[in-house]
Amino acid sequence: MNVAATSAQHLPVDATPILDVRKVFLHFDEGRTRAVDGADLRIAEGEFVAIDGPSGSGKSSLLNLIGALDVPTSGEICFRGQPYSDLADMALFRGRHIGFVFQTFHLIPTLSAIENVMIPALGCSWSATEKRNKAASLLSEMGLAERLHSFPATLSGGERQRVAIARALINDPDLILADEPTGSLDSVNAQQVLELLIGSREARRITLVMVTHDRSVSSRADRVIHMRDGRNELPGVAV
Amino acid sequence: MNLLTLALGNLRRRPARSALTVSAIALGIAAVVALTTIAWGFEVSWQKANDARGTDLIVTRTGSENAMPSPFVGAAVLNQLAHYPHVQDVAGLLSEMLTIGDHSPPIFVFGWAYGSYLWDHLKLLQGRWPADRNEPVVVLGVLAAEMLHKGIGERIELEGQTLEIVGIFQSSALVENGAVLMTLDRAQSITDKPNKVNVLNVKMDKQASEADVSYVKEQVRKTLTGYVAITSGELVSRNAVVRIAKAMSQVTILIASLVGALVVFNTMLMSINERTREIGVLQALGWPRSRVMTMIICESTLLALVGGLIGIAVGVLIATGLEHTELMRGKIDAIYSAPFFAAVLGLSVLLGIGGGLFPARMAARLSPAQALRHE
Repeated sequence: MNVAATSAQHLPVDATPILDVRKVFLHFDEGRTRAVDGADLRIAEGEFVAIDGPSGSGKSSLLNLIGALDVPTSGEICFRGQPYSDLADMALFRGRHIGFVFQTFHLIPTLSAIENVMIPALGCSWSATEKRNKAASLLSEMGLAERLHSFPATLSGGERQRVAIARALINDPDLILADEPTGSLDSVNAQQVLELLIGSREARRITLVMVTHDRSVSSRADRVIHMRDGRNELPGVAV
Repeated sequence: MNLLTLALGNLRRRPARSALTVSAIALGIAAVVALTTIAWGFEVSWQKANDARGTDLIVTRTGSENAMPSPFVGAAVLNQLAHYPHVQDVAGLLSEMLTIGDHSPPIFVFGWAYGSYLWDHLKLLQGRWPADRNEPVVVLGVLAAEMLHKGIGERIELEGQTLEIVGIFQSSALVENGAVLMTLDRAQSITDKPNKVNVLNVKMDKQASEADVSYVKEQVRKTLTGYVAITSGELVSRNAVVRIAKAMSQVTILIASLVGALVVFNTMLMSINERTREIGVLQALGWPRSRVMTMIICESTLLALVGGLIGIAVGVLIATGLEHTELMRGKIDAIYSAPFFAAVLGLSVLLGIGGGLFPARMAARLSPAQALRHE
């Protein structure tokens, strides 16, 4: 089955997908480990796609490839038609277009919540005041207006993940990649974080790709891509 | 928030490790500062002493100028030197380092030709000068009087001879302030070196030009076989003690630099290993490799800079302490100069950059995905 062609039925006829993953492989140890083994999918602008599958099926590896954190062994990934292999500066690309949310938050422990949010904007041309104001506004949006100057160690898991979402949004990304963002949270906080992610995506018309094990999370997605043995089993189930 | 505050925060995470690294750098820099200021101080003290006397050229035995000048019979050479054009005065000088009494530290003892220009720059504070070339008396530099706890009318014993203190003087040169001074004839007598001098000091007249000084140097080379005429600066810089002190200071700089760079290198390597995943996060968030490198080098440079500042302060304390020890007092005038401290701080910064460069490159070259997977 041609996965790309089937996925394309979710897009307008002449629309360029935000992400086009074409027969991508990611092998380690001279091919003995096949983390991604022929993934092939297209994601439309503004779509919310959930990726699920058993442990070791290549979900996070695929997310790393989509996020330009890893380079595929073969195959091509295009962002709005531009192949990643043509990008001169992957870090710059990530900074401009992609926001990451990790399962274990990955906040810098020595920085306050507002400073953590400002980290991706450190090299951009805004003034210090603009950066600070924007970070404060995002944290307020996440319900953390009273915790701007709190350090990660003093925040709950849910609060930390909300700081991480604000951090992912500071550079106005086109795409948010979330790797099991609710995996380390209790159900109440998980629901809150999910609502914030979905709400932010809708308010900003951002594409959201989320790796998750949680069916209650994937049920909220426009489409679910199932991974098994390094490839997507089905092209995507519209929900 | 900027890279500097971020780097400071990272260093504060492991305060004990950062403090140990700073201490190691500070110790190395302190050794560099103490040894170098003393080595330079030794050179400058002697230079000052010669300059204060108004000596234009110093004549000594060939080869002897490289070490402590060995004594020679000066009369024949002196007579010949006195006939060169523009030579105003030639004065013999004998110097020794002797112990006065059983418990005092060694002290410089100078014998200067009686009535020569060598005495002219000294300021008599108390008493009088020796009345003739053979009078068995000494005058003390103001610091020597303080160190020996002696005053006018008291006596000191030198090489078995008892000499009366008849005057206390002050000089613009520390070495002379810390010395016992007598006539050349008396010094030759008590050291059992009749008619001998270590050097002959040549003073040119006011009309003498650089070319005239060079002419005298050339004439000595041509006509006085076995002797050499050099400036006081040349004598001091060729002096074996000065050269050994400078060599020791250079070796210390080299060792301190290597140790400092290795300590910074090790600290930064450990720090990066601990923060691999965090560096991966920064890269994922769009930090270019250059910014990651700059942050790491900022951290290593801050460590080295703080170590350098503390090291300079400790080095100055050590040098000042050494200057005032019984053994060194009145012999060395440690030199503290702003350009030297700036150079030491520059060295510290170089250590920081040098020690941090490889770890920074390592961090910047990490694959973000691999770094995020790091346990």
